[in-house]
Amino acid sequence: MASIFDEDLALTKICGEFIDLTDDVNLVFCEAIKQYMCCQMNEYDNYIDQIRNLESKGDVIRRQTESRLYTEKLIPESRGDLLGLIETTDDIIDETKNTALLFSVEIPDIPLELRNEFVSLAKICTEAVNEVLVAFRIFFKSPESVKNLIQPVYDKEKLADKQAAKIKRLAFLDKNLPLSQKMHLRYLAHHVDCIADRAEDLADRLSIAAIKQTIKA
Amino acid sequence: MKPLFGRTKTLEQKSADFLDVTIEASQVLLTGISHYLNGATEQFEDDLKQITVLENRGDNLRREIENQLYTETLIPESRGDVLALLENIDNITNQCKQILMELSVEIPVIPPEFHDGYLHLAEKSVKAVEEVVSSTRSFLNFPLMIEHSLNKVYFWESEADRLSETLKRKVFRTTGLELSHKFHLRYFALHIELLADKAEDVADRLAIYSIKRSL
Repeated sequence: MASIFDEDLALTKICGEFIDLTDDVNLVFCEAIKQYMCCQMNEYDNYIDQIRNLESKGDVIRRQTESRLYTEKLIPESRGDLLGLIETTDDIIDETKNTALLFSVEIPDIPLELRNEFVSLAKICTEAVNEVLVAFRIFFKSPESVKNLIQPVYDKEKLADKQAAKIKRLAFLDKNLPLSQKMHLRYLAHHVDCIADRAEDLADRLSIAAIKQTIKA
Repeated sequence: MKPLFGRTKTLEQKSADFLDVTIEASQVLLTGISHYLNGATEQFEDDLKQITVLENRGDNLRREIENQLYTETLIPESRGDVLALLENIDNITNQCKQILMELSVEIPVIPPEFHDGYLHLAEKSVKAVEEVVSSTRSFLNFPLMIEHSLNKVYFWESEADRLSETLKRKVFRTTGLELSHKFHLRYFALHIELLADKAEDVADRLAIYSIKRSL
């Protein structure tokens, strides 16, 4: 099947760059969380700087792409779908940056027994994002393949919910922790879990956009 | 490029009034926060009453404009964009009221060393609002000027982000504060910062609508 970008290679390239950048943010986030849990704060701060830079670059690319979609009157029938996909991808970047910043700003005290649990949660969320980015890339070339590629995103999102619930349960069962610290741990688990929710949002949009493309073809 | 509402003067006037309400609400917010921090409770409660009246007025104006756009079949090609724009601007006024309401309900204890931080954060968020209102006026009346003011919205929004982060860092590094108290302080910084985010949402829409209008 033909790509919706067949006639505009430059736009395909910009979208590819945006996906690459989201992938980088995703990978850096997972490494950053591992460092935080090992109390390697210098390393952690370096990762935070990287995420900030990538996010600013992402905003520029998003705005350029949006303006290009309109000014050059490109693929008018798919323009709205593509705008929605780009904005939802940008939401993943924003959520990831804000969550990484939470750890840096609030320097939460994570009990030893919960550190690996947080790393596992971050890994699952990273996998969810990775799966949806694979589907997004394929969408440009073969929209009919998207359906099979997004199921793993939903599976990972459910797994992330489960892992976040496990952390919250463990925190609230711990008789030695004050209530405020339990609430802090719940808050952090919720925010990391939200990254998988944003991946799910993109999967939902991709699924509809892919169906529309398949029908048009 | 022609003004969006052309010869529909009443609509033009109502839109101008609606934007004035947004600006007034943001000014009352600033005064309200200042009164709250200075412990001027009576004046603060007056500010809350004033902002509630403004919010209702904004809602009424928005509905009147929306009704007029549909019943008189005005600017059908841009109607959807204008409606979404009005609703997003209304979110700004709602957020201004929400911040004062939360201060009134939750009466957070804000230590004096953070007062300047909250005031500066509120000032930057309000600057983002002022610029986005100015961009909206340009969009409606003189679209060629819009790019310049949109850039300023993004600038003040990122300033608000930066100040909010600095304030929260300071809060969480202060010894002698309960963790629950830190959460409370973080919550208010976040909500004042959200005001600038809402201005940015409007700016993002304006950027796209202005390109569409120029085609």
